[in-house]
Amino acid sequence: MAGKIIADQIEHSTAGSLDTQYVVNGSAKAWASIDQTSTGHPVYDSLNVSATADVTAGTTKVSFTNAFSNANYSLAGVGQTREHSGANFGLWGKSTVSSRQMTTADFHTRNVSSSGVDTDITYFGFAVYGGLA
Amino acid sequence: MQTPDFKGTHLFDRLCWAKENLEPHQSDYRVVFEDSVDECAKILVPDPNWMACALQGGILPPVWVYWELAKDEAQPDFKKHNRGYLLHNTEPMPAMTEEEAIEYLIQKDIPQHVWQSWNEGNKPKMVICKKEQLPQTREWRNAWRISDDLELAA
Repeated sequence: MAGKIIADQIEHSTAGSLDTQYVVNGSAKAWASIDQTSTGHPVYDSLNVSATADVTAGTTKVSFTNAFSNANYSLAGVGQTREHSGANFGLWGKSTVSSRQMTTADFHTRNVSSSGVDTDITYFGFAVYGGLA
Repeated sequence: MQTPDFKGTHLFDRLCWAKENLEPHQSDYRVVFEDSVDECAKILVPDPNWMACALQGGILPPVWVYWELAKDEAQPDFKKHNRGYLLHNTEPMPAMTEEEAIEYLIQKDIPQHVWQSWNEGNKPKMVICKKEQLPQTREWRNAWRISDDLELAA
C-alpha cells in the first residue's frame, strides 16, 4: 500500500519514545456496536466483522473476517443500561456449550439482566484485542 | 473506485482500506437456520462493511480459506493458526452480486452441517428471506422455529 513507513520506534520531542510493537499489539483488531432489539442483531457499525447472528435473547454470534491467531483474545465491552436496568454485556466464553465457545473465527455474547435473565440490549459495543491469524 | 492490487496485502489492512473508502451496504437479506433440534431458529445478518467489501471485489479471500483454517482449529492439538497466510496471500475474490455474497457468507458463518443438507429431512433447516418477512417484534423469541408449512420459492 502507498505511504508505508517501517519503524520499530517513534519518539516525541520531549515525552520520550515508544516501540511501535506496542501500537501494533495494543490496538483493537475488531470492534462493533450492536442492536439486539432488532431481529438478526444487526450492527450499528463495525470493523473486521463479517456477520452477526441472532441466536437467542441476549446472545449474538459475532463472526470475524480476519480470524484471530488463537482463541485467547480479550474483549472489552459495555451495554446500555438505561432501558434495561442492570443489563450486563457478557460472553459465552470457554468450557461452555460447545457450539457457543470462543473460537478464532467467532464468539457469542451473553447479555443478562441484573437478575441473571438473558436480555436483549438496545446498544452494546465491544473491542477485541489479540493477535490476528 | 478501483480496488488496489491487494494480493499479498494483510487482510486486516484491506479491511481498514475498505472502512475508509467504501460506503457500508445494509442488505435486506436474512438467513434463518436451525443447527440444533433443541434450540430455536437463528437469524444471520450480513455486516454492512463486509457486504461493501464483497460487492467491491478484490478484498475478501475465497471461502475455502476459512474452511482450511476451521479444519486446523478442529485438531485436538491446535494451539494457534500457522496458515494465516492463506487469508493474505490467496488471490482475492472478484466482485460478487449481493446474492452471491449471501451464498458465500452462508458457507463461511453458518455450520457446514446446516448448509450442506439444508433441504434434507422433514423440513428445511435454512431459509433465505427478506428482513420484512421476519417477525417485527421480539415476542417469544426463544421459541421461534422455521415453519413446518413453509412454501419454498423455486
